Amino acid sequence: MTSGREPFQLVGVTHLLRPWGEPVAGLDALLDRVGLAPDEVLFAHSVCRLLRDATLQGQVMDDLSHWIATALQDPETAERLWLAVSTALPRATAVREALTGVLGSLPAKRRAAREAPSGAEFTFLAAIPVRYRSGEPFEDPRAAVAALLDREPGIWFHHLHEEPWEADGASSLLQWLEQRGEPTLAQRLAACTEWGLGVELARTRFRRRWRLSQASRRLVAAEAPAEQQRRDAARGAAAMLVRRLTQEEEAP
Amino acid sequence: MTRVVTAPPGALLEQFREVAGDSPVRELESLAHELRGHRMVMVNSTAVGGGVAEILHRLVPLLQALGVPTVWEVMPGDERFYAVSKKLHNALHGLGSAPTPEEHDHYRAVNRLAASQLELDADLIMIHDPQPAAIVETRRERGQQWLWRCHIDLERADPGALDLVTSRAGHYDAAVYSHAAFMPRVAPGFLVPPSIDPLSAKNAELSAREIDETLAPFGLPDGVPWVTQVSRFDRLKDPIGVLKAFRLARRQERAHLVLAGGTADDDPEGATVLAEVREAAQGHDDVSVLTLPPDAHRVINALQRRSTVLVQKSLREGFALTIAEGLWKRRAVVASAVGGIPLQVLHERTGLLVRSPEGCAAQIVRLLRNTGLRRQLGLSGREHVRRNFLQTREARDYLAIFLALVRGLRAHVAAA
Repeated sequence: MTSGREPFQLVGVTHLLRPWGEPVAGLDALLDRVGLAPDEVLFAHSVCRLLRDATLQGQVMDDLSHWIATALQDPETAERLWLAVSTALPRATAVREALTGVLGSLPAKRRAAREAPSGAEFTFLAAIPVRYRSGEPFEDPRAAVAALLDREPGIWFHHLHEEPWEADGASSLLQWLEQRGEPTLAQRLAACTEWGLGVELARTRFRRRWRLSQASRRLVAAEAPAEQQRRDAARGAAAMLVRRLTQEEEAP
Repeated sequence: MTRVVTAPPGALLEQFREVAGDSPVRELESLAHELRGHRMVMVNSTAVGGGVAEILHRLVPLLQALGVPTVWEVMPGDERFYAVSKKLHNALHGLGSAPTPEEHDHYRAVNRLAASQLELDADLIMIHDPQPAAIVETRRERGQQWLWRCHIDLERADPGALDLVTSRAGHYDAAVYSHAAFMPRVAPGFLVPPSIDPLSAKNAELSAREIDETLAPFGLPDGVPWVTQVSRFDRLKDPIGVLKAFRLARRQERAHLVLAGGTADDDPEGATVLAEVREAAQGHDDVSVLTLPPDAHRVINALQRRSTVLVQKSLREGFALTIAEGLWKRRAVVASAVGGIPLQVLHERTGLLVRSPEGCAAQIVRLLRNTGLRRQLGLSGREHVRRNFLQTREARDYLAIFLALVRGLRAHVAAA
């Protein structure tokens, strides 16, 4: 649990990959293996793609759907799976249910009909995170978010995709922002993860919106003294009028 | 003298920052920062020639520039040792048999000698390939982390040769392979895909004039788009399938096919395949078959840059770095969905994946007719390579593995 009183340390991540289980050539075997695969395998093939394909235009397709579309050449199943997985993120249980749900709903004949050619089998990989601290801890929430937008994409990925996967949707950064009085900013960042975009593209979009909001904040801040000046001037004029009226009343 | 003095790091980080972008270099700096206080040694069997030496000539200065003290030691050997290690190397590739017990004894004796001579006073040791792999048996010290980096495709390895390698893997804290298909079942093993060096002769930027000058001796035609496959003449690269696909595509679009590559010295079938390709291309003046020497890096660079479409229609594939090279040059790529290719070619995003000569022909025609699609795939492909297949990513993976090792990798993997 993050404490809003403590400064916040941004953390980046990179992943070590290792194969898991035997490669599969068809949908039947895929369905079996997906049911057994550890969470870090599902993570490698659904969430990690957002970091690996960080700069791709448009929504990023998970590895399994991409394999079904290309090696098995079954675009319909690939589309159904893609939608189901992207809707189920960021929870491992939901992703597994989405995968087994779509693959299990296919007629057995259809699952057996498609086979990848030799050499194009699907190899499951497990992603093992290696985390590192990025710079010094932050006191100012807006400075932390500015760094999140400026530094390497592994930091964004860790706080907005990996942590929610591991902590049932929770992110230490978003909690800290809320505790530091920036709930709207936290909500906006959380919303970015629902776009299904590669990390760089999502950051670029958020950065544009963030800069606009920063600019309007500055504008408001710049207008604030003028408003204060108007108030002071009005107060001054009123005081002068009161003085004049008082003087007139007191005059012999 | 066993230590290789590499080029001073100088402005290397800035050069990488310029070509790879700021983020990958920052990531390296952050990881290197976590490894401060640790020292690294790279060990292999040659300072010149071969892919590993090429990698180390760039990687070692890069690690030094990042502030991780790194040295490169080359193991000494005699003529017999090199003959035995070549035999082992070939057997691991599936060619010939494993070294005999007597040969293996000599291999171990030379490794013991190397262990006594090399300066391995670091806490992170990376051993490249099988030649120096037995050093760990006699030289491992308390507190050191040893990593074995296998650059070889072990998929078709002779079982005896594979046994020699895997029986030693237990001495290491981790092993690293380029592709899942190459991995023997020893744990903990990790995948680090190969990468390309954006500053090398094969990938550095070339002007239009440099491209023309480099390719002039080959007499390739002007004024017609080139469709090119760069790969050695090997049945698994399916050059005959490429010819078939090209003939189908030529019914619809004008183009010139370039099949360029060398026959690997360790591949006895190469000459036969080349003869078959030449025969199949005979009488077709829209096809050029180029045999290139192993050091024709600039020619390959120019060919890839000058081509309109690059093809890699392999039947099986390890990783196919030619794809990453082509994508880095913003080329449109048509390739089979085998081996490591789908990691590089994301269908309709960074290139086009196919399964048959007909599919290949259809996608070649589609690309020849659509400049916008070629440009879009080329741009996305370059960004994809920038993030995933440049040497900065390979350096990042090594730093991450060492970081995991010093934090207690085995426990970490078990927990995961």
